[in-house]
Amino acid sequence: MEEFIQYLIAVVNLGSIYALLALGLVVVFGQLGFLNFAHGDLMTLFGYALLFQTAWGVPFWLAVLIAILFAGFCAVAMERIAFRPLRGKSPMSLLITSFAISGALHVIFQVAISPRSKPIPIPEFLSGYITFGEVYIGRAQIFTIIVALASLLLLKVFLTNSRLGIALRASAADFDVARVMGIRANRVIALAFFLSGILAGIAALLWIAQRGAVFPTLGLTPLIKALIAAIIGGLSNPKGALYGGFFLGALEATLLNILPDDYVVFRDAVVLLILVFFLVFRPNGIIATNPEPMR
Amino acid sequence: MLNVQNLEVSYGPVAAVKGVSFEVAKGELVTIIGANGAGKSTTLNAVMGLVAIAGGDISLNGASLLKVPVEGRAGLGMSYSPEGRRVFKALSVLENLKAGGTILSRGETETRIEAAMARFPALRERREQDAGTLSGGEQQMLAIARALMVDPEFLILDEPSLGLAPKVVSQVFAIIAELRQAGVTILLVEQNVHKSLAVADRAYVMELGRIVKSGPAGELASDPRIHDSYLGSAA
Repeated sequence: MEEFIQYLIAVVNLGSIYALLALGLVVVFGQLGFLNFAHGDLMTLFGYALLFQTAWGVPFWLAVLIAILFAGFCAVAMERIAFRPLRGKSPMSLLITSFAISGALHVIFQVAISPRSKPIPIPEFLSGYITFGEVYIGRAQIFTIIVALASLLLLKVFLTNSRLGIALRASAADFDVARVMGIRANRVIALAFFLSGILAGIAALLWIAQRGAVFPTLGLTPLIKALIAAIIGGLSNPKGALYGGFFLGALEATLLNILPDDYVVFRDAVVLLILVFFLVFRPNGIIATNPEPMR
Repeated sequence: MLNVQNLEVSYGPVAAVKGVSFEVAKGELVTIIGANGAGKSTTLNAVMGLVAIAGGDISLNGASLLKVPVEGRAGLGMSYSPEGRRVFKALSVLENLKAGGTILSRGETETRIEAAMARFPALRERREQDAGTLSGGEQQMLAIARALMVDPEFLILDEPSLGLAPKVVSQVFAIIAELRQAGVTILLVEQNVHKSLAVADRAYVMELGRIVKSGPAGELASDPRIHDSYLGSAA
């Protein structure tokens, strides 16, 4: 029983982070039809923003809030500077541009800040364990689950109840028809990038809370996880990202539990194998409401 | 109301619309008929600003639309129900209607949603259902209801009866006739030439990107050439 509870917590913990990450990719894919490979770097930007602020003595939670907003505005700036001039070009051009942005940011982080890992002071209450009988749960894990689920809930409320959220989903479903209805393309695309930046910021907070450091390629691993989750779930619908995220979380936690210790190193290989299975047999993902790429 | 002069649209080296001119007066129902690939839908897309035009002018109430972005057209009283319905499938019926009312205030949106539900009772029953799960006929009703959210002065309908069961086709044309009666100016592109000529005031015939004939709908319906080319099986 205890093991099962611990397993369940691991699933929700991993799944909710992956879902947040995948959602960040999917909201942009919905508008422009490309996967933003610089999404992981928004997490790194959050990390450095947090690092510098804590060094300057800004209270931790205020610094977190500012860093999340900073990631959001960096995403908007990315769209304005790099992606908007390419509007109307093929998604492949946008994809390659996102590689270029990511590469450039890595170099800037290495040269301007440091190629080494920098520790970020994490508040005391996020370290250590809480015990329920025989069940040990990391405080950072509980924090992750609460923050991620609250963020997902807020995002759902925003996407389904607000006019802007409906406009965003409508324009992801059919960009041209949405414009005909008067939904402004520039506004809705900027909003999608802002949201993706905010989601990357929140995911980065949770990622860093469990690792306590920032380095130039911090965003790379989470980006790969996000890609896998988004592709498995389906890129055309935020629900797909959610399902894909939790599916990947459950898969990783299960593999960790069932694989003998000597074979745990093959966990990522198994995950990638399953990704290949999806790409071959269900290329539009678990949720495939719109099998055609948007543009 | 709408005036199109020497419209030219090309897809790469292929000219799809070659110097098309037509007009739609206020309160009129004008239909463009023609075979597949004649350039009808491209013409409508050009009027809505969805394809770049290579030449000519499109004006609404005397003002050119060439500099008006796609999203600015709804504010000018234009609305469009595209070919293939293109409802937002992952959005509920209600959300589709809300999206249709983007340019309206919250209060106006609620009022217009009520009006849409009253006009299309099936949509009220399915208001929370994802649009993708509706039948073809219901999706078409939703596409029209969505286009009517802004209470348009000028409505463009592209193939509203395509792929629908005969009973639903009659319903769709009854709605079009009703809108015409209510004073909405309508530009209709249809494969169902028989029914569209029956509801229209005037018609244009397009062939290979050009308008080859125009006149009052009744006159064209009795034109032997039109009859042979388009009405043979339907009449």
